[in-house]
Amino acid sequence: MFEVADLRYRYPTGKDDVIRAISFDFAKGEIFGFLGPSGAGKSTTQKLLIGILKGFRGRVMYQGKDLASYGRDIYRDIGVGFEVPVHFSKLTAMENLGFYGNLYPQRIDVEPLMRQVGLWEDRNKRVAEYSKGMKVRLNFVRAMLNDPKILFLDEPTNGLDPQNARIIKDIILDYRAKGGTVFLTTHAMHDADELCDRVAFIADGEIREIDSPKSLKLRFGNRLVSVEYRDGATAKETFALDGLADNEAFLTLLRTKEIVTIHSGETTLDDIFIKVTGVRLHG
Amino acid sequence: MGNLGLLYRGEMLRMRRYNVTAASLVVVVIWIAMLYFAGTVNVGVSLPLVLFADSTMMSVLLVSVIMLFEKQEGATRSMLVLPISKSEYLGAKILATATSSVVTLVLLLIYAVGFRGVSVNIPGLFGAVLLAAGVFCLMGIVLTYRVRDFTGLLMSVFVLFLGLGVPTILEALEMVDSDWLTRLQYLNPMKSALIILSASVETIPANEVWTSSAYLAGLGAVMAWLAWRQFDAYAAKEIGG
Repeated sequence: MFEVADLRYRYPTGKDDVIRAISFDFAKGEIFGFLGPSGAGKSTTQKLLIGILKGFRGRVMYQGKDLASYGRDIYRDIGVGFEVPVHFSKLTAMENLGFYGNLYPQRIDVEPLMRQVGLWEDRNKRVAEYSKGMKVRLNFVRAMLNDPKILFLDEPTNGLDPQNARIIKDIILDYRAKGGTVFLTTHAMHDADELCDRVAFIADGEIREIDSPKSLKLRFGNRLVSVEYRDGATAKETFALDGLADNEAFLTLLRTKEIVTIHSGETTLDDIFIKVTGVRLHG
Repeated sequence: MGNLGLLYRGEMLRMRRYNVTAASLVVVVIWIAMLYFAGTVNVGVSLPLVLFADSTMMSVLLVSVIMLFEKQEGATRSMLVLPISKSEYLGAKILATATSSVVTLVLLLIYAVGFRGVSVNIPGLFGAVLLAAGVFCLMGIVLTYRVRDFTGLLMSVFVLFLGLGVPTILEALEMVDSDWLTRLQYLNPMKSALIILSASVETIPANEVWTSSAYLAGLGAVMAWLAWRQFDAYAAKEIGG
């Protein structure tokens, strides 16, 4: 759906490129995660792909055509969920959605989605009266207004409690199941792990790795099992995951000791990110 | 309804909700009070001055305030990913501001013509208000591209008023008598606005009216070009890094 080759970008007032020759692609029906810490170039890349930042070098193709050849009509296909609230605070949620929705030739019936995200009862409240979480959910509904073919989401669960984050993630998965495509920029590795078919790690404007979360875990994970057990004091031993069923020492431990915990050495995306890029995601 | 109509309707709704309409109606009440206290003889002279202030400074303020509210709330970002053109986006703002100026004009005419019997070339006055409001609205848009917040806006409007408005008012009230100021004033678009507005109430040489109209139209074209051309840079700034 999108093909990006040798993309480079420098802000008009900047000295150096903030996006440095990145190449990737993602297909229809895919959730593609763009992961990296703040300032890595995630949001800039997203803005380049949705055409609101101009003047890049390299090639960006959308549905086989140069992105630059599309006019404003491309926004009929695209839904954009910004990280920060983007609504008129003195208008109600429905007035906001009505205003934006009317500018699209096609639009969804917002009631089911507003009910799903828990905002229907508060639909006639002014956005200024909404909590941060409610504004984030309204942002998401705004992004879905035009029944987009492709959804660009920037930190869609930022500021949400776990229950509402779950609802948003379920809607994203449901959207994908119906053939929708998602470009997700986030530093929330857990969300990416759960949602994305493939992820790209970006640091300092460069892509360091692209693969599915599962493949990354297999490639970078430690095939080890750690067993914590009580033998007077608490002790810990580590065994190779391969051939574990025939590992006598492991089996003896299980039979003779009081086991406290058993953990496989499967690594997290967070750890892999640090390993690959040498950059921490938080703090 | 096309995009321009929908955007215009949105602008009008927001002007009401953000109390911009209420504020401009309060200003109309102040203008009417000024005309009331101007006395029967002076009301014809005061009407163009009041309309001058409204269609120039108020137009700059109105459009800038609308855009700054939009900017402050991040809504500009959302507007940038809509299937609308920048001409439609800017056009709706100009139409909404011009509507406010026309409403003010109608209310002032009701008072001045209906209650004070002032003789006015009504079509001419409508044309003059629309031209002046359009030019200064465009100027307000270009100004807003350059200011960061409401404080910056107030400072810029203050400088604009001191630099262009005050000399025009002082000259109109015959409080200054200087040849060089009179000559310099030919470059002042506010002076041109006052000339075309006054032409509907009093007799002004035709060449002055046409020159002022042409000057304003030319300046309007330059401002429209700047507003259109500099929009992308403004948008990029709003989107941030």
